[in-house]
Amino acid sequence: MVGTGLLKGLWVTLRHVVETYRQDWHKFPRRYRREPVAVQEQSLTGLFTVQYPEERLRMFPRFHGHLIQKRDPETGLYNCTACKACERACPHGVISVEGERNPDRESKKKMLVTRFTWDAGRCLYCGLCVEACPSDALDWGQGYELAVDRREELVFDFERLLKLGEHAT
Amino acid sequence: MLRTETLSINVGPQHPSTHGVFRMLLTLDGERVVDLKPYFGYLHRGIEKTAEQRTYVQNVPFTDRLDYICGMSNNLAYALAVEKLAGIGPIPERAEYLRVIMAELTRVVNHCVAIGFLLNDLGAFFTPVLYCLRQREYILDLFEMASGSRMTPSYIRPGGVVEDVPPEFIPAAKKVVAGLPAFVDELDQLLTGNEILMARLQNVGVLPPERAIAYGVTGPVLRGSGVAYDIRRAEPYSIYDRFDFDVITEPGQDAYARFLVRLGEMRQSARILEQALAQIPEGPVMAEGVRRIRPPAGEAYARIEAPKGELGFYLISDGSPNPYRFRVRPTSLINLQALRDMCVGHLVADVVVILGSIDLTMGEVDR
Amino acid sequence: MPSLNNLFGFLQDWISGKLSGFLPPWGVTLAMMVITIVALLLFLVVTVMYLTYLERKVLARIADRLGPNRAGPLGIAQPVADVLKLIVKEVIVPARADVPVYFLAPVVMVAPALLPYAVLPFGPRMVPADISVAVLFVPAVTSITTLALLMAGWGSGNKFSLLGGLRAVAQKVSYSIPLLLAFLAVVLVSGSLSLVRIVEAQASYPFLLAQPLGFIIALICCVAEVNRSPFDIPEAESELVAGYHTEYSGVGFAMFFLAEYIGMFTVSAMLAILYLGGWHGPLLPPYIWFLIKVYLILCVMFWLRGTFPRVRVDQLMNLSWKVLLPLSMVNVAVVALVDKLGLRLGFLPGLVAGLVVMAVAAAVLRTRRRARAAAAARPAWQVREA
Repeated sequence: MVGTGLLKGLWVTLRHVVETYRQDWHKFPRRYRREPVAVQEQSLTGLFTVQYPEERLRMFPRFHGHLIQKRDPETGLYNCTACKACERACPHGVISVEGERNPDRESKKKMLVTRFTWDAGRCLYCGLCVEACPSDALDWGQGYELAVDRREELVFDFERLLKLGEHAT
Repeated sequence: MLRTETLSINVGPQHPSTHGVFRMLLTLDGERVVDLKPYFGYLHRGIEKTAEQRTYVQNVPFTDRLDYICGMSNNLAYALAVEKLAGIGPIPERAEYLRVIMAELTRVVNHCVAIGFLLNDLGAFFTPVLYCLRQREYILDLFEMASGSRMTPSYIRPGGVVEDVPPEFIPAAKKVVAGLPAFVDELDQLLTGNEILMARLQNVGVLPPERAIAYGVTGPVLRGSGVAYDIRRAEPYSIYDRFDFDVITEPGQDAYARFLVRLGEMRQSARILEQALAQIPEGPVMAEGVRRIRPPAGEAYARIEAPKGELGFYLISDGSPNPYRFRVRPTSLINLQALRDMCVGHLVADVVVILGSIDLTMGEVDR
Repeated sequence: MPSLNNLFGFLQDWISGKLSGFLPPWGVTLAMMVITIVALLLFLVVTVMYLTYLERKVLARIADRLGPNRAGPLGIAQPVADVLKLIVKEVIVPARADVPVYFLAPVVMVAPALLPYAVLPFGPRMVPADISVAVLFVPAVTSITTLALLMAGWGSGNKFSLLGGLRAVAQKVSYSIPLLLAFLAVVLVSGSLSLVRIVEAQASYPFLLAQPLGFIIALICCVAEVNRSPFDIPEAESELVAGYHTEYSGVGFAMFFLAEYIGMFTVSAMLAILYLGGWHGPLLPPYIWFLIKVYLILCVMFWLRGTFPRVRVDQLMNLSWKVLLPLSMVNVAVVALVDKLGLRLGFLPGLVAGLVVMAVAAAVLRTRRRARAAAAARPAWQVREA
């Protein structure tokens, strides 16, 4: 019969419409999800939109949001030893590190970081730098609202990365 | 006697349905296509040349950005080439399984996108494409869980995979795979028997098998022409010889056959995934002693059945830590060659559909 | 509830009663005309604004989305924001445009789109002018928009626009014929060309039951007449960017948009009047019933848009000339025959005859498709090169 294919298609879309309203009804008094969820519920029908500013998805622990610099939780000193492994690993050269020997011979920290910049605007977010880090200093943070007004603000310095690291932990 | 003139129009590079920055110069007689000249290169980023200045591992993120819809497949092809060149191996079992799982999930992602946007080109107002993207979203969640990125994962590396998947990955993947057949069935119900769709796709963009082979076309386009050629079968790489699956072919040789092949391949991918997820062993995921890759002087070519067709990497080493030559055999570019042959004689509306049925990613065409 | 049922009639009497206090009789008539026109225009503009909202919501739900929900509660202010945006936007005239034609086209598009509302009955006593040939009047005035489409396509000086304009003309002309033949069958059944008479003739049963085939033909033709998906080839986004209105921005585009949605409302109203029994219905006031029926047809149009791909231009022509035109002719003949037999069985003879014709047509189409598929076994590429 000519037209059955068309009717079948109409039936599928009708089912989707009905299903979205049925789900709406379940959530009725409250419009948005209460808790952020990592993975959306898997189904073929029903509303799929995440109402972004009100609803947020929880990021996975491995999510490549932005780089962070970690501190030693006991001493409070930063872990980075300015060994430049990340700088060498980066395919695009978006990280640059400069360090100097710590003048204070007694301190546990042998090397001080004098300059560390990460250019988020040119970063590939591949994670080779994090893999290369031998001293558990560089890691990924899960933040994602990183929009800025000017391109220069995309270059993160050491202080900013340390601060992001504090927020992440 | 009525005098008529042909009309030349540029479709692209800023046209709603050229799948990226691509330009076709169409010569029309009324609405019928007399000639078609494709122009590309708008997205050329010099990846092949750039790669000569990077180490073998540093090139992995660049492969993500070739065919940016199937990053995992590109990673796999490149990893196989480097392993062949540097003699890395054997790859741990678990890593092999993870590679197959990721590659097959990528195939589902790609076919979702291909079918969805083909329907958009046909003028179905965003409904099928959104159903497809919804399914893709579940799979991209899995990629993000494993590698931290959705489209540019850099997950499969020479020697194995970058790190083991988190413990919640396998159950989550099983759930996604269990839902796949229902999704394909729904798509089937929505689209396959649709008379308008059949009228638009059947006998459009006919590519006979001998022509397809002559052009070097691969993937669903070749199998849609009725040639049962699938590198997973013809020359099994990784551990594809262990799985039970069918090579889907359709005798139609037209855009509709390509659409059916993609639907069927999603079903077969679900079959492979089920087997792989059931059999995956525990163990390490990286081969021993892969720290600095410095292959001996020589050359290697490795190829895989990427979702769009044969994807190959040809590497030459001069013994340094960087490749001397890094050459991609791009699936999309070679499948694009058949475009003019398929389009001439059809109407303008068909050109867009034929382009969609080839399934291009301009990132791979221009590199 | 007689007052509610005839709310607008009472309103009319009340206003004219007040006016006759200080105006001569011809003045009252004139004032009533102006008031009716203003009220109708306001109604139409607000309807169009919220039709876009309804359409976006329906399409969104089909695609598992929510649709506009940011401007105001439930996105209710979205149409207002859209209108403001369109008004504020700069009008860009293309360098190669044929300027007078380019600027005239939107006006020529909107004016005839409004004319049918002079004769559309929204309820008993709710028709501005009950003329005796309204069934012909509506298609006659709406087909003037064809000229506007061609003007827009030509005037823009853009090849995509030109192609879109040409397609639009071909489409409108071809689909008017089966549409009018389908309407003709209704005229035969009801015995009148006046829309009010036709609605009154449907007091016992809607003509949909007596004219199932006619309704399907008319629905398809109406969707094609207003360039809606799956027949939206004049503005096919994936091929022609936006067809004849590619080069229009701001107010010019808003005019096309307005005309398109008014056109949709018009054809839906025509279908509701001719096939669904117009204002007839239990309990609710007649004008509410009429609007319910119109919105039902509009929702079906949105539903079609959300589900189907677009047909190709040659297939569109084939459908009209090779399928709908013969079918509508057969329909007229069958209706005339049933009418002549004069069976006193209400809608049953018409329904049975319509279903039989449809079954025969489906069988013929299927065998023809089989034959075509067999012919196509030879690759088209060889045929082409030969």
